[in-house]
Amino acid sequence: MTKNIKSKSLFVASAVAAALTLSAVPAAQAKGKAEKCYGIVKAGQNDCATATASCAGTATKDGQSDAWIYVPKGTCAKIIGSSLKSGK
Amino acid sequence: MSGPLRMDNNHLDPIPANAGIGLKPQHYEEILSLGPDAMPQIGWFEVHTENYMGAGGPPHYYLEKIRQDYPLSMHGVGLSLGTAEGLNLDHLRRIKNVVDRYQPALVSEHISWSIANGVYLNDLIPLPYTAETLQITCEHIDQMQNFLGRQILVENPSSYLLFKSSNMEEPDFINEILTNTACGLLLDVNNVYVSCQNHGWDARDYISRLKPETVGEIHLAGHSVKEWRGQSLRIDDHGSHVCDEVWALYEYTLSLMGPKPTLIEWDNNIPALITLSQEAERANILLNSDQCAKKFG
Amino acid sequence: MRKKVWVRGMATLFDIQEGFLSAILDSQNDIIADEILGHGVQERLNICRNNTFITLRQALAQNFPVLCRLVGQQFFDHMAGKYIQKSPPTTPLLMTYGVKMPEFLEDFGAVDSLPYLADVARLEHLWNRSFNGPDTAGFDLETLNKVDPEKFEGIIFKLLPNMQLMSSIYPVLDIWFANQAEEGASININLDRGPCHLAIFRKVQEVEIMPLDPASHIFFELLSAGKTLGFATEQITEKYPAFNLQEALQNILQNNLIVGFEFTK
Repeated sequence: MTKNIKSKSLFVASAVAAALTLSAVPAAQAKGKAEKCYGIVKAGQNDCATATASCAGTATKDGQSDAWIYVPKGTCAKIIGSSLKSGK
Repeated sequence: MSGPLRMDNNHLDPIPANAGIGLKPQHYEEILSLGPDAMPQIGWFEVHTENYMGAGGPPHYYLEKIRQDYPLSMHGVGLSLGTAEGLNLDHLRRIKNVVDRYQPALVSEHISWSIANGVYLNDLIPLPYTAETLQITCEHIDQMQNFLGRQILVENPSSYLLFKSSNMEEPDFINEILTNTACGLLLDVNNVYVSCQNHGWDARDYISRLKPETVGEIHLAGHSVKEWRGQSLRIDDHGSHVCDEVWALYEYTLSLMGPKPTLIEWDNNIPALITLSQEAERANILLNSDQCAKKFG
Repeated sequence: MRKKVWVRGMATLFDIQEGFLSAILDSQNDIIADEILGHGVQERLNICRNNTFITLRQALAQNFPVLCRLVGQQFFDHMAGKYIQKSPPTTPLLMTYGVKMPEFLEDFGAVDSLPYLADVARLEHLWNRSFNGPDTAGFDLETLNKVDPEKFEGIIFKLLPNMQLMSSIYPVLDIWFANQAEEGASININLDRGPCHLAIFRKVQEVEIMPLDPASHIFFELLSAGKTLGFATEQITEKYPAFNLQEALQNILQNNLIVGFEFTK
């Protein structure tokens, strides 16, 4: 039992030591591949203007009757796979 | 109602009586790379306070840098000073955090409401001008000023509708607020024009009823005109150049009040930075005109 | 019932604001219409309603750009309108509006045939949280070199405070990444590529999304929960005997995901 604990402790210690040694390389050589995305120009959304289209009719009145015209029509059409339920 | 604060925020890198513009993320990089010497037309920046309430991230990175070079004004849109259900204390705390962090020379909010039943509508909705509304709004302004330990400015609204229960005219309601609290007025000249056109009021009369010494800042913006029920309706969309009628009203305002820090607001169809600085320059020319400066300089 | 004291025969401010709220959210104009002056009252109220819905839809479109691209602008606007009515903002901060979008999509019948949308929304919301999450100062690996190796077992790493973790049975990173491309670029994703595990974090300015193997994902979760390195290792090797601790640590160290450490008392 004592031996087991000792060996686990050693195992962790040597893994950290090895990782530290191998990590002392410039970040550019890092192995992990992360997808980056610059979000810097992501606009601040709170403001005090009135939306220009606010005066154009009733933008939000879509009752049950015309709901059928709303069908997803975007890049989702390019995604295939057997786990998709057969939508239309 | 006015508290013990005799508020003087002049130690806070004061905003000069020249033109500033609204700070937009699209322009962060350009503003930093040009530096203030290349853009003498722009004396200061204003931000919408709520857009800098995240814990961290790029918005703070850029605002920190830009704040080093320019005086700053923080213009809130989310506190809902005219709400009947009490101020949101969490939001008040968020405002204090960001104001403490950036030390803006001016802090402002709106004479309007946007929260009911805990729902935030993201619209600056007009208030009925009654004694009840006056009392509630003044209490909230006092509360905000005491919480922040400084003076705030409140902005006159633009509106598309009026309430039957109003028994005070808008400029009188504003003057009552200014008398009863120690706050100042952010006079939005475009809002005055938009509301006066929409409701058939006289814009020059409106402005002449305000007290020059209470005005701490002026806003200018573009609006659009919609044909509506056989008449024109002005929509305050901040999406174009300031129109000639509003420039004329601004000139009239300056002739009564002297030079005041003046912001160019442009929040929709945001143009190139150069367009904003040209718009700012147009305000600077009027601010420095003989008519304005001599009388008050 | 509230007493109306201020203007005889008229509604209180509270009444007006409640009535206005139902006009805007539920199109119940008649409650408040009597309080509004002049002609064209319905249209005037519609301007306020439209402004609220347009600006909130814009906020959602900015917070869920991939979702918007997947279903197309027209459908997104329709869906966003339903979302706004169901979950209107409860704070004035629009930067993270849409926290309930994944659950909303799971219940929204019109997207039943696109079961991966909820996880795409989850990823976009976490991306946003990382974007706006706390900043951190850098961390010097040298300080770890000075630690007595015997103490590593009891070390508690502090990972980037803006780090978010998620798993999906769908390849949502592939879907997300394909929809970052220019308009018109070819997007071909087969959902049968299977599950993914992701760490979403920001060191300075850019949000990064890192795919993890299932064991590393649990490892990250345990470390994020403040477990010691020894405990986390033990838990994982029980389930994944082939777990390579050294590689997992290298991944963390080389990507600068650690901001500090402490020890169990």
